[in-house]
Amino acid sequence: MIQKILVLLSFLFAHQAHAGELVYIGLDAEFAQKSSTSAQAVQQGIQIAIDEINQAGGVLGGRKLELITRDNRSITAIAVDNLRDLAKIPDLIAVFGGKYSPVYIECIPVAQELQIPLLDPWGSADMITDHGFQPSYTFRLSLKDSWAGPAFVRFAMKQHKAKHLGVLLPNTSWGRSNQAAIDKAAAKAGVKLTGVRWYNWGDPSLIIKYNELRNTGADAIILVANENEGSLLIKEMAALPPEQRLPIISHWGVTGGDFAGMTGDALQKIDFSVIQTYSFIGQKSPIAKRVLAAMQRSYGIAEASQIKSPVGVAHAYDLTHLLARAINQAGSTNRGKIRDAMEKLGPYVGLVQYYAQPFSPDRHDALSDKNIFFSRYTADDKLIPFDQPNY
Amino acid sequence: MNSLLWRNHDNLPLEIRIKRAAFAMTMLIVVILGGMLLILTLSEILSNQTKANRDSANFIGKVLSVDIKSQLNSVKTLSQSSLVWTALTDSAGRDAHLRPFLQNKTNSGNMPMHLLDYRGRSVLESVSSAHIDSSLAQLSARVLADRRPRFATDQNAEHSALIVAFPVFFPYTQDAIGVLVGEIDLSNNFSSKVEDLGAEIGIEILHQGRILAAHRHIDSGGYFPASVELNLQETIDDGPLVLKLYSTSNPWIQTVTKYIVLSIALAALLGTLVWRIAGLIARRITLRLTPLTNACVAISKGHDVTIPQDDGMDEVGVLSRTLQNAISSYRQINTHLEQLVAEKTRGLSESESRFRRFFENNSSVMLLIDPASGEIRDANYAAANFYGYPHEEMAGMHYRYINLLSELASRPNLEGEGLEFISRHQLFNGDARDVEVYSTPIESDGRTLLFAIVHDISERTLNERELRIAATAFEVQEGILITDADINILRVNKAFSRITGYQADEVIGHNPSILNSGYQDTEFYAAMWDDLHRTGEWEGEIWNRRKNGEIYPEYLTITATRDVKGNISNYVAAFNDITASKKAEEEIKGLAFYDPLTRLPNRRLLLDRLTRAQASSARNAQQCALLFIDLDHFKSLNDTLGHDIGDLLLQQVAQRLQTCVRDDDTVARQGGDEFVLMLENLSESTIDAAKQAEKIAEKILLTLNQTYYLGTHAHHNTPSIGITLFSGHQTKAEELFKQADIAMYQSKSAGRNTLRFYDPTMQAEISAQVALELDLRRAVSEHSELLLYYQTQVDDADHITGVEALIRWNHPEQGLISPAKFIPLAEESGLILPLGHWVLTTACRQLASWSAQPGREHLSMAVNISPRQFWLPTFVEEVLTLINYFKINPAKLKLEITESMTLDNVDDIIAKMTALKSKGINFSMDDFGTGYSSLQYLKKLPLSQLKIDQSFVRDIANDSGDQAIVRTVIAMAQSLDLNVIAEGVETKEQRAILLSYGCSNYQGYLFGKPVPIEQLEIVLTQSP
Repeated sequence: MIQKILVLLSFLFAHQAHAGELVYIGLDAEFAQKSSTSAQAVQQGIQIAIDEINQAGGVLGGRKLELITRDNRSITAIAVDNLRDLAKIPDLIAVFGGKYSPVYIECIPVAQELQIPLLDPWGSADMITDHGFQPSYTFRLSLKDSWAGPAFVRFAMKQHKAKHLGVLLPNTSWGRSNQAAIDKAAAKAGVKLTGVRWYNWGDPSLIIKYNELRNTGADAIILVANENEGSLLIKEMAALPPEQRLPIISHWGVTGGDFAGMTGDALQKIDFSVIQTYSFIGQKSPIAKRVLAAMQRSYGIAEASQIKSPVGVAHAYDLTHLLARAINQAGSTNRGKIRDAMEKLGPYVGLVQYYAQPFSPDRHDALSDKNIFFSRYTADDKLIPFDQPNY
Repeated sequence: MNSLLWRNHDNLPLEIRIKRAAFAMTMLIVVILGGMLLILTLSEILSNQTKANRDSANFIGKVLSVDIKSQLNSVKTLSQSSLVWTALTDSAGRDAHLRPFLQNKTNSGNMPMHLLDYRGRSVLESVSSAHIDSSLAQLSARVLADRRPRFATDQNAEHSALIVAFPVFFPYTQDAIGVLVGEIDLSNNFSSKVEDLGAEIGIEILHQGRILAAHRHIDSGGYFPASVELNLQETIDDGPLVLKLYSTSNPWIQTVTKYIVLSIALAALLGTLVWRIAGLIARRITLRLTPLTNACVAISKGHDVTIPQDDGMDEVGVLSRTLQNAISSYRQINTHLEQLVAEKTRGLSESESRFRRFFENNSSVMLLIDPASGEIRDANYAAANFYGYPHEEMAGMHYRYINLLSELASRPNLEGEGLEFISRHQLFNGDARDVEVYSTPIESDGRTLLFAIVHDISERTLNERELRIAATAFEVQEGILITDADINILRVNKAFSRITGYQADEVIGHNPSILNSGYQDTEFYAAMWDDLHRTGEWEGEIWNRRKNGEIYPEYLTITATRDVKGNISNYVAAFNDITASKKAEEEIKGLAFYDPLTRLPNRRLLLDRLTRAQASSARNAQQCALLFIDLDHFKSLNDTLGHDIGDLLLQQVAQRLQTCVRDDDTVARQGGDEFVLMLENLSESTIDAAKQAEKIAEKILLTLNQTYYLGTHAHHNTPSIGITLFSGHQTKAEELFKQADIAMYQSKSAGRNTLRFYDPTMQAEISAQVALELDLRRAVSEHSELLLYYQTQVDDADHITGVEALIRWNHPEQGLISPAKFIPLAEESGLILPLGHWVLTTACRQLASWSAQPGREHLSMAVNISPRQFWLPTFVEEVLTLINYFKINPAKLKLEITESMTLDNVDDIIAKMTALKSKGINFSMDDFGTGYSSLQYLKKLPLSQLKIDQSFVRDIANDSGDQAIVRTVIAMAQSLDLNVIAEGVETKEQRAILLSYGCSNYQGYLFGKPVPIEQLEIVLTQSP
C-alpha cells in the first residue's frame, strides 16, 4: 500500500516538476515568400488553438503550449536545417510544415531519423503519407492529390460538361503526384486527357503551353500551380479573345497566396474554380464561431469571407487540438509516445469535421475525399463555395 | 671648370696650358654629343620595345579571355535556369533531372560542376569532378553573402583552375538559395592556346603574384616584360588574373652596351691623339686660336658648328684641321648610333611579324575587318577552316557573306574599347553557327581596323536547348530520343538502346525512320506531324522495328520543345515498349492489326475499333455504321487472270475505299474480297445517320465501278454493299458483323452492284438456313430422308443408254427440297463429302443390281462429283473400292465433273482422272460452256464426254448465239473424239436442232423427268 502511494506521489511530483515549463510546437513554413499567405494562415490556426488550450489549462496538467516558428523560404535545404534545429529544442514535441509538398518530401527521412512528428496541415502530395517508413512520423490533416484527381475530373464533367481535359503541372514531385492521380481518374471516368504540359517554377510565360493544350481540343484545363504561376496564366489568358479562354479547374496552391490581388481584373474574365476542403463562409457551428471570433480579435479579420487561405487556418487549428490530445494521452513530451498516441486518438469534434478516429497505424490522413468541394473567387476577393455540395 | 684650369696654372708654360685647354675642349664635345645621342636612342628603343610587347600581351590576353569567358558563360547560363533552382527546391528535380544532366559530359562541356545549397554544402557534383580545396566553402559563403559571382583560383600539382561560382536566385523570393560552381581548367586551355603562337615568347598567368600557369617559363632577367589583366567582365575577388609576357628574342640592350663600350674606347683613343697634337702645336699659339675657342664654346652649347678652314701650316692651322676631323669622327659615331636605332626599329617590325604569326597560327578564329567598308581585310587559317572558304578568298570578302543577322544587329563599330556580341554566322557549306564575337579596334598602317575573335558557341546554345529538353524528359525508364528541328537524332538514352538494340553512336545524326516497321502508312505519319505542329504533342501506339528486325509495339509520346522565341527547336520522343503486356504478345503472334496486302486494318483491329466506337457512341449517343463490301464475281477474276491480278484489284479497291470515307472512319479488309467500313460520329437520329451512310455507300458504288487497270488488263468490277447501323453496346460486335453480312447478301440477291440496309426480316431467313443445315446434317448421318432420283439419257434412236443419278431430299416438314437450295449449303458446311459418298455408293449399288439383270446391264450411271470430293486425296481409292466391292463394270460408271473444279491444281486432277480412266471409268464434263475452259486445256483431260449445259439448250431454237456455241462445242468434241450429250432437252425442236448439229445423246424432260428408282424401273421395263 505504501509502495503504491509512493508511486502515486512520485508521479505527482514528476508532474509538478514540469508544471509551468513550456511545451513547444514548431512551425517551419514559407513565411518569407512575398506573395504567400499560407504560412501565416497555418500560424494563425495553430496559435488560436494554442490560446484555447492554454486558456483551458494547457497540457500535461498545466504546462502551456508555445509556438516556435522558422522560415524555410520554400527551400528544401533550409527546411531540413530548420527541422534539425527545432528537433534540438527540449520539450519541442512536433513540427508543423507549410504548403510546399517538395519540402515535406525532403524532410520526411530526417523526421524519421530524428523521430519527431511532422504535421502537415496543407501539403497534398501522396508521398507525404505514403512513403513506406514504419512507424511513420508524418500526420496529415489536409487534401491528398489522389483524392483531388478524381474530384477535378468529376467537377469538369459536371460543371463544364467537359469530355476532353488538358492538364498543366509543375515539374516537381507535387506535379507528378497530381499527374498520377489525374491520369488514373480520367481513365476511370472515360474522360480523354488531350494533353499534359509541364512548366518549371519561375517560367516567364505559360501561354504557349496553354495554347497547345487548347489546340489539343481540351474543353477545360486542370491547373496545378501556386499563386505565382496561377496568376501569370490567368493574366495571360485574359489577354486572349474571350472564346479562347477555357475554364480552369485549379488545385489549391493558388489559395496559398494573394491570388486575387495578383491577378486583379483578369481573374473575373476567366471561369476559374479551385478545390477546397473547408470554408468559413456560412458555418454556424460553435467551433467555427469561436475561431472566427478569435480571428477577428487577434488578426482583425472582420468576416469569414475575408480569411486568406482558409484551409490553412482550419486544418492547422484542428491538427493542433489533436496534437494537444495526443500529448495528454502520451502523458509526456516524449515524441515517440506522442506519435503513438496520435494513432490512438478517440473521437474529436473539430472545426473541419467530426473525427471518429483521426489517425490509425495504417491511415495517417485525417480527412478524406468527402471533404472536397470547389470554390470560386468573387470580384472582391472572396473565396465562395459553389452551390453544388460535394464533388 | 675651364677657368679653374686656367686660373690655377697661370704660371705654367702656355704650351702646356694650350695643350690642356685643347684637350679639355675636345673632351667636352665628346661627352656632350655622346651623352645626348645615347639618351635619345635609349628612350626611343625602350618605348618601342615595351609597346610591342604590350600589344602582344594584349592580344594573347584577349584570346585567352574569350576562351575563359565562354566557359564562364555556360556556368552562368545554367545558374540562371529553372533546372537548377528546381533542383534546390524539389528532390525529384535534383535527382531525376539535374543529376543526369550534369553527368552527361557534353552538357557540362567537360567542365566539372558543383551545386551547393544555401549554406555552401554540396548538393550535386558532376562525376568527373576534380579536387577542390576548402577555399570552395569560403568562396561560396562569399557568393551567398554578396549575392554576386565570385572567382577564385585553385592550383595543385596537376593543374590550375579558375573556380567560378555563381549564385542561384529563387525567382519567387529572390533569395540566393545555392551556388553553382564550375572549374575552368586553366592549364589545358592556356597551353593549347599558347602552343598556337609558335613564337619565341614566354608567358605566365599570375594571380596575386603567384604563377598559376606558365608556358616556356624563361628567365626574365634582362627582358622587358609586358603584362595585361585578363578581361573577364566580373572581376576576381582577390585581384585580377594577370598575363605576363616576355620576349625571347635577343635582348637589344646587349647590342647597345657593346656600342657604348666601343664609343668609350674611341673617346679614349681620340683623347690621346688630341693630347699629343695639342702638345705639338701649343708652342705656336696665335691669334688664330680665337675662332677655334669660339667654335668650341658654340659646340659646348649644343650648336652644330663648322670649323673655319685654316690652311696655315702652323700649329693653329693644324689644330683647326684636327678639330675638324674630330668633329667628323663624332659625326660618324653618331651615324653608327643612328644605324643602330634604325636596326632596332626593324626589330620592331619583327614584333609585328610576331603578331602575324600569332594571328595566322592561332586556333581561334580571327578576322581583321575594315569597319568603314565592311570588308574582311585578313583572316587567319583557323577562320578559313571554320568558315570553309579558301584562306586567300577570305581576305577581301565582305562581312555580310558570313554574317546572318541584319547589318544593324551586328554592325561592327568602333565605339568603346572592346565589344562582344552574339551573332549567327554562315559557313561556306550553308551551315549556320551561333557565335560570340569579341571585337576590338586596332591600329594598322595608320588606319583603325576591327580585330575580331569569333568563338563558336553552337554547342553551348545546344546545351542551353538541352536544358529545356531535360525539363521535359526525366522518366528515365522510358526510351528517349531527341532530335533537332530537322528530325536528326541528337541524343538517345540507355533505355532507348535497351529497347531498340541500337547504340547511341549508331543512330545519332540519323533520321528516326530507321526504326520504321512499315506497319504505318504515310498518311499515319502525315497526321502525326500535323498534330505535332499544331499542338506540340503527339501520342499513340506505333509499331517499330528493332535492330534485329523484330517488330514491336510501343507507346510513343512526342513533344516538341521550343526555344525562347517559340520556334520548335527539338522533338523529344519518349516511348515504352509494350510488347511485354500480354495483349501485345498475342497481337504479335496474330501478326498485328494490319492486312499485309492492302495495309488496311484487319478484322482484329476493326473489332477493337468497333468496341471503342461502341463505347464512345454510348457516351455521345451518336450513330455509327458498319458496311460490308463484297466484290462481285471476284472469284472469276482470280480464276481467269490469276491471284496476282486479283491482289492488284484488292489493293486498288482498298485505295479507292479510303478516298470515300472521312479521316476518322475505318476501312478494313476482312479477308478475301470482303471489305468492312466503320463510320463513326454519324447523326444522333437513326434516319439521318442512315442517310449519311447511304451517301457514303453510294459514293463507294460509284468509285468502285470505275475501270481498274490491273497490269495490262482493264477490268470492271462492282461491289455489293450491306449496311447496318449501331449505337452503344446493345448489339454485340459479332452480331453487327452478321447483320452487315446479311444485308450484303441481300444486295447480292437484289442483282449485285447495289446497297442494302440490314432488315430484321432477313434474319429470319438466315435462321431458317441454319436450321436447314442442322436438318441436312441429320439427314446425311441418318440417310433417312435422302433419295436418289434418276433421269434417263437417250441416244438419237431414243434408246435409253443410261441414267444420271440426282439427289433429292425429302424434308419431313418441307417436303422435297431442291438441290439448288441444299447443295450449296452442303458445300459450305462440308456435308458434301458424306453426301457425295452416299450418292456414289447408292449409284454403284444400283449399277451392280442392273448388271445382274438381263437387259439392264448396258445402262451407264452418271454421278455428279463435287470438287471438294474430287480434291480428297483418297478419292481414287474410294471409287475403286466401290467398284471392287460391287463388282461393277467400271465403264458403266460416268463421273460428271465441272469445269471450275479442274482449274486449280490441274496436275493433281489430271493424275486422278488418268488413274481412274485407266481402270475404265469415264468422265463427263458437266455444264460445259459456262466456264472458261480452253481447248488446249480440255485436251489434257482424259474425258470421254462433254455435256452441253441446259442454259444453251433452252433457247437454242431462237438464240443464234447459243446455236453458235453449241455448234462449236459439238465440233470441238468431235475433233477431240469426245462423245456429246445435251441436257435440258424439253422439245422435239431442240432435239432436232441438236441432232442437226451432230449431237446424238440427250437428257431432259422430253425423255423423262428425274424419278425414283421404282418409277425408273417401270420406265425401263416399258422402253425399247
